[in-house]
Amino acid sequence: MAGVALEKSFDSFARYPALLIMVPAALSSAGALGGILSGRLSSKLLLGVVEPTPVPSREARRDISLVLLLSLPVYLVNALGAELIGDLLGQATPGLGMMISASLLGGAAAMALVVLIAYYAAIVAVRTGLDPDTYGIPVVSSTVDFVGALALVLAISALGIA
Amino acid sequence: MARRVRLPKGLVALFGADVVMVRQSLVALGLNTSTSLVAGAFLGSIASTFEDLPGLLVLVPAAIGLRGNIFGAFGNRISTSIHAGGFRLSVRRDTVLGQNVLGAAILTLGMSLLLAVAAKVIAVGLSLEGSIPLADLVLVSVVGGVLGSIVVMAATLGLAGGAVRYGWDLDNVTAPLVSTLGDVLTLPALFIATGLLGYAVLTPRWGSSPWCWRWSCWWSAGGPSWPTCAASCASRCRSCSWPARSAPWPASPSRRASTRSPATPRC
Repeated sequence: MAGVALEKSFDSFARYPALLIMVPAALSSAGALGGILSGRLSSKLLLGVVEPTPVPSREARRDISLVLLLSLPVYLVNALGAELIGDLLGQATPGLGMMISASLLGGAAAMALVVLIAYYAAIVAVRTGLDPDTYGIPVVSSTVDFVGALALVLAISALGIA
Repeated sequence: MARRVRLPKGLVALFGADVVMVRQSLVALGLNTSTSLVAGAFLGSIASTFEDLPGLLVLVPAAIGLRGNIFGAFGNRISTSIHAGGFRLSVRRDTVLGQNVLGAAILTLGMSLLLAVAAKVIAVGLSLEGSIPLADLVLVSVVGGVLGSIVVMAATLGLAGGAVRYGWDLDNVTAPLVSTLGDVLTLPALFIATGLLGYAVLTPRWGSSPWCWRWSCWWSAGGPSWPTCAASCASRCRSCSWPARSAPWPASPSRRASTRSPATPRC
């Protein structure tokens, strides 16, 4: 579905190829941050440090806050890097300000869903007797692929870039 | 690796006991972001391939994610096994590592196949015009998937070894590094696999003809007729042959289009 979102917006990305440079970084950043959260939560659930409660415990909230803090510099660097590479390769970009806005806006939307999916996928896995190590990261990263692409496409549209 | 990154004192105070996690994660995320941007530059530079092969872009995010899914879970299980004290660095089938290696190999092959089918179904279902045939998508997905997975698996095994030896917490580094490698390697692997398109023996076209007719044509091009086909069917097609490929590697999209196999064999 992420591919379909990109394929349907291909004309927009063709207009500003620097945005296309940002796509893999946006997808993998959301997946990586979700993977860190999922990995930490599943290990702590299995070791009994975090309880599988509907409302995240203090320890789980600490992990969530840390991952959200980590996401800020990551999405900023994504935009700066894509702009820099776009300039170096002589590809059209909508400008640094727009690149940063699109990256941070898309990243914020993606991270909100990443946190929800990572936490509740791990909790549901534990409560249904499944191994959160096995189901956590795949659920997060496959959902995030779609969510990350869609969030970026929506952010680009909302900012009127393409 | 992580010891070289020093955070400002204010951040150390803010993160408290989690400063090691932040340090390890920032190193891994920094690598992830920088290499993903390289993957992005590669994606931008092969945009013409996606124009030439409509529907292939549908496969890309899922193929990239697949590496992260399979080897992220792989690393997570190894990490928990290390934390729980049951890990041994051995690929024998009765060990945690051996079972995970076997599982990852089976998942790579099976999911790459399913991914191609799903991409084709979605492309047709959402009316993406002129999408490439299923056989082409399967070939690109499976070959590209296997090429990428071999390297990612080797790296994940290296990380597991490093975690045991140097005391890294795999929870903090596996997901970013594995998804990094997935990004960087999957796109070139898929691009390399697109070079196999056009060899008719790899992606025979079934078309609307009966399967035995197609199989006997394909079979008779290199040897005896397909034994399960009806005799008349086989004899009709014994003289069929797929056109020989003139160039070993498509140098440009237009050249690739010109060397792609036709919809039907010459009979």
